[in-house]
Amino acid sequence: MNYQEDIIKNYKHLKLLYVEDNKDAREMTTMILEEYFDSIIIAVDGDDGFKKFKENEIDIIITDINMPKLNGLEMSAKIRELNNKVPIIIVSAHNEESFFEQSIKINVNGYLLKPIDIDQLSNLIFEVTQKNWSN
Amino acid sequence: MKDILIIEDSKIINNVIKKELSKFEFEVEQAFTYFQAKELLRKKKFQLIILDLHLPDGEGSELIANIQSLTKTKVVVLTSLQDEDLREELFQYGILDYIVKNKNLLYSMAEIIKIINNITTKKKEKILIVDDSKFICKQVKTILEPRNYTLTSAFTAINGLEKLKTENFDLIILDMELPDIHGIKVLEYIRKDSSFSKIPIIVLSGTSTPEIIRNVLKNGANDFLKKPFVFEEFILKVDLWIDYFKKDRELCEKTTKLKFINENLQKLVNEEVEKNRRKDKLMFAQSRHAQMGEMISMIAHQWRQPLNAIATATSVINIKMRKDNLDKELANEITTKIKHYIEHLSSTIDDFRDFFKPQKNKKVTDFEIIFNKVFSLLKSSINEKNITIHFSIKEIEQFLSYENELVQVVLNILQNAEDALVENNIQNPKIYVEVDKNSLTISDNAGGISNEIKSKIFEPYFSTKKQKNGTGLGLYMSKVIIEEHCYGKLDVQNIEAGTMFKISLPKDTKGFNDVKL
Repeated sequence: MNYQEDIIKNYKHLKLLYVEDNKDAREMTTMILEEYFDSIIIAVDGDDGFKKFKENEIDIIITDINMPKLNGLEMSAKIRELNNKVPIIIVSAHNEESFFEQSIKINVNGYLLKPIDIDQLSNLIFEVTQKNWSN
Repeated sequence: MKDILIIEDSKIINNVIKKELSKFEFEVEQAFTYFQAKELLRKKKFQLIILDLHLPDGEGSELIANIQSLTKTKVVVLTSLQDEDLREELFQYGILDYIVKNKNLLYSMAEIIKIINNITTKKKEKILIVDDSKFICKQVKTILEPRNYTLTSAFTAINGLEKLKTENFDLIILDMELPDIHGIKVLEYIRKDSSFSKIPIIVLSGTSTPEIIRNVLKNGANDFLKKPFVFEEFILKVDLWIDYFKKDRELCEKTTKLKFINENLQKLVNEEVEKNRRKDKLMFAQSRHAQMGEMISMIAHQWRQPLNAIATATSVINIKMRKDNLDKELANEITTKIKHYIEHLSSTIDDFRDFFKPQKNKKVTDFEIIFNKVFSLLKSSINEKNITIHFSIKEIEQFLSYENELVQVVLNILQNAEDALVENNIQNPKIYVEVDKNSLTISDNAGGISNEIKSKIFEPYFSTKKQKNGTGLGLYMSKVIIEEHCYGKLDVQNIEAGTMFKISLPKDTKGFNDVKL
């Protein structure tokens, strides 16, 4: 427990952009993320996410893939055109190869399968933020 | 019939006949005098002689008496002499025919060839002659055997009837004045027996009063000849009745065969219909199974979000508990949400179970109800693929039909559109659904179907889906459901951007009135 607390301390101050179209999933997941981040910006689809990324100083992004308008991967690709450093974590219900491949191409930093395991999530957040800071 | 001898003193005629007959693979020899003919006949056996009666060194008719067996060597007389007495005399000897030379020799040739053909093709038909006069029996034998008939003689009625029972005859020649039973009684007896009832009977009789002729014909004889008879007439009548019987028998055989074929055909048709029915049933089951498979994948789609939400909710409880942040209010909020997710899971299952419930009776419904049912099953999968569905109603009208089957059809068409949009990688994938009274159109912007494929899409086991392993039964079953179960029409056509399916149902007014709305 202490170990987890230590980890969280490292990134709790970062500003998170969380993109998810499904209301139920969004509400529940936000409750979890609140424990990890002080400030969370929520977007309801890829378009919204991209817009909010541009408007805010975002430190880390967690996004779903399947969304109307712009999907999570398309949004990530657009963000990567502007910024190739901000850590992006994909959270998806799909474990299809094509999604992994695309994610690697876009150069996202992490890929998690739904339903989210909180310890896995916190470790991954720590990993990607540490890497980034050390770079 | 191989060896033929032409006896004719006119070289021209003789040569013409030879030339004509040589066309038919006969071995033909020529004699121009009585003497030459006699010499040739001594050396060699001929099967047929064409004989001119007037020869420079003798009479042809005398040659006939010299020929040992007219059964083996058949004679056709060719003469310029029209002599009725001689003619009858020669027939009595057993000549095949008496041909009076025509000015155009080819006419006579045609007659000769006809006789030869007749003789060669004739199967040895059997004739029974019942006559107590041995002389007549012998006489008949002499004139008929050269014509390839097989003669059996009986001198009494009893004897004749016995022979009739042991052998099959093609013609009966029956004398009226028999020593044991009168001819009329014999006729009656023969005609009563169904196995002989069709054999032609020529009656010979010493008396020819109107009464006897009437009785003979009324009792089933086919023909009547008064003794003594003209031989040629007798021969012609025998030929005629034999031919008639042959044709009659052939007709009977054909009729029986036809009757058999007809009966069999009915059986075959029934069998095929039954086979088809079973095949259709099997196809229904197959397509049903395929659809169940798709349903499972749809359920998976439908369940993914709520299951994920439930999992996340447990994570929330977990993490809040770790931090001692789980107050009563939050716990309440989360459990209420979980309950809501579970209800959603449960209702999905109900939708699918409803869909597979067999529905035997028609019910009042409309295309909006049907579309909503389909959409609730399909929406997760369609949303996930970012496909936009435009649903519009021009005019709504209720009808009486098999709702579940229609849901199946609409689902199938929508799934096809969905698959085509994904497979063709369409940007901005769209599906338009429009209700207009009792017709429903479903169109997409997936690019349409090529004409080559268009004609086949309703055939069973035809599929273009490579990735999804289509059974090729979906559209076939849809067509069967719409056109055979619901008596409507299912059509497909290409529109600007894609394909349009149209379901039109008949207005079921008759049944409609039976149901209270």
